[in-house]
Amino acid sequence: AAAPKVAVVGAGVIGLSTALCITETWPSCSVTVLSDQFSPNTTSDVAAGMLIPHTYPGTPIHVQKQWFKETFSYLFAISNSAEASEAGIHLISGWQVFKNTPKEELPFWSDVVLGFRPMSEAELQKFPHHLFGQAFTTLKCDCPPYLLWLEKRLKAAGTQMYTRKVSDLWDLHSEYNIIVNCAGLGAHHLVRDEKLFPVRGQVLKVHAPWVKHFIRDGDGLTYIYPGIHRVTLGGTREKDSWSLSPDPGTTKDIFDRCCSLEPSLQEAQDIKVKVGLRPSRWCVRLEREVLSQGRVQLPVVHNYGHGAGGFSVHRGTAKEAARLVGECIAALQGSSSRAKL
Amino acid sequence: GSAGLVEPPLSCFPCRLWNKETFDHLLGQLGLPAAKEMGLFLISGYNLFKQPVPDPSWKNVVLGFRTLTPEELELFPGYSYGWFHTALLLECRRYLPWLTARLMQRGVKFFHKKVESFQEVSGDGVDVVINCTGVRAGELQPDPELQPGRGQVIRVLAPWVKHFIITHDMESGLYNSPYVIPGSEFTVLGGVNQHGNWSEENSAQDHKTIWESCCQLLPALQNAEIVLEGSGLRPGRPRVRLERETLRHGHFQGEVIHNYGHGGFGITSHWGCAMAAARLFGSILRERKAAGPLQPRL
Repeated sequence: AAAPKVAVVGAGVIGLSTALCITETWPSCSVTVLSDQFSPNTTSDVAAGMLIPHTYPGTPIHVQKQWFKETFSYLFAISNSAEASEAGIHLISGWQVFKNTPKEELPFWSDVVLGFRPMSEAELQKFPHHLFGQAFTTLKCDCPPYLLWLEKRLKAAGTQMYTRKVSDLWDLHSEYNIIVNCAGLGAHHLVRDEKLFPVRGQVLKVHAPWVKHFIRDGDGLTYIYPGIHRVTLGGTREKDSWSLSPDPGTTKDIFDRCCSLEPSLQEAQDIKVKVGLRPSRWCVRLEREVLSQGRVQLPVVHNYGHGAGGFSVHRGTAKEAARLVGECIAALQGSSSRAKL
Repeated sequence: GSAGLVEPPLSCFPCRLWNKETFDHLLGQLGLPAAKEMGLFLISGYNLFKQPVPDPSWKNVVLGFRTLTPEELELFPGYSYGWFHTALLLECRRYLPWLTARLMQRGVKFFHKKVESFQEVSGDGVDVVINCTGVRAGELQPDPELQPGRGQVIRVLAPWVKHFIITHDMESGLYNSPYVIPGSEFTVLGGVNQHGNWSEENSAQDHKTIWESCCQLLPALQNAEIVLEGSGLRPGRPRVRLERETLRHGHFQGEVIHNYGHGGFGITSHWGCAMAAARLFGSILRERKAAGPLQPRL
């Protein structure tokens, strides 16, 4: 039987990392990435790429923790190698501060990040409006570098990548045996998933190289995430907003909130404004589906709906998606053997 | 030439008070608009050891001091123990101009000249000389305890490095073990401290040692672009010389306050030492006042 031809739809962090996992796990497959956008124009490029998980209400916590752990270990190894700067991965320490004591004192990921502990009184003095905090060290994935690094590894593995808008998965069935749907927010139209909705986030990317720590308000709305060259200041969480245009009032509001956490940001230079629409869902859709039209079948693996937590779990969900692709391959080979009888 | 990390060496007494005073003072400046102009910011990082050591005396002066977890130590093969804490970084290439500007605002005058003797600057109307001549203080007054601790550093572009890493080797001695200290623009790589070496030329051997040991410590440095390299002489002394002296030489009598010999921790202790020197100055003023109107000096 010919090597299965796999098409991955989507070239954000989920699409590219899933494609890479498939090439690593099933080297005999041919993998092609199809997307209407590639870096630097994906949703992932706007994200800060901080490894601080988002909690999905509909996914068991132990599963989310496993995804996060796998992602953290994978990136930790890269951050401590000569590839770190090219891949855009680096360690960063900082603080998560709360104006009100959080419901859970220990988030599920506290033993995956490094050095997690409550902040001391002396440390909290830096945040006069907050009464409780957590200090830890985690990883950051800078985009575009990380996506470009994934693309480079994919090319080295023989993966083809094409700019192409896919409006219907059936358009691909004659060329490909298995489709992997990493279309992010695009899945709303592509597979008519009404449970998928945008959560609009506006951010500022500024030049403030003296800021060496992340600072995040526990409410998730205000954050300061230093990257390699720029600091990402955020943000907003506007449910069901599809607008990609930056809003000047929001820009000022974000800047003021961040300066309140870190006054030295008043001196930040070269402020760039970006907008991303988080592909949000009650739970990540990570499952197999067999589409059928008459007697024709099209195996699909869905891996989308990561919302605010894509970077934090991307490697873990990519590995699971690759495993599901394996199930599709086995099913195809099973049915083709039956066909030979 | 220094990296600007405000962190005391492991054993230093009576520097403890000066170091605490300096840290607290700078911490208070952090939230002010001048902080960026001063070159002042918070930075966290790692101190690494090859065997367990007692906690340092300054553990409660700095922020968030703790020992490293086993997972963190995995980052640093060859080191089995360590600390994590948040310290301050004060970049001298910004701090010195900032201080200069403030002094000028207050009417302080600057003269660029080589001073050959205390007498030379003790002429008309000068009541007190404050001697902050650092490593070359011995040229003004012999001090066999003052010895250069030669250091060499490589400045690289590595903005993905957000932590300082300081290694300790009890055998090779302080600052004679690799360290990585990120600044606002460049990252400083170092790790030599050569007692008695007056050379201010860069040594190819030291370059190799520093580059290889820092890249081994932090593999992510391997692709960093080298921008600058330099060497400097730490003004080493068993203890900082911070004291008054009345100098008499023939007809000349003058008060000198010595404030030199800070070794590799000048930035760490500078404010506390400056305040101590200022207090010594204050006591001179009080004595003069008590003695009545100024007597003409013969």
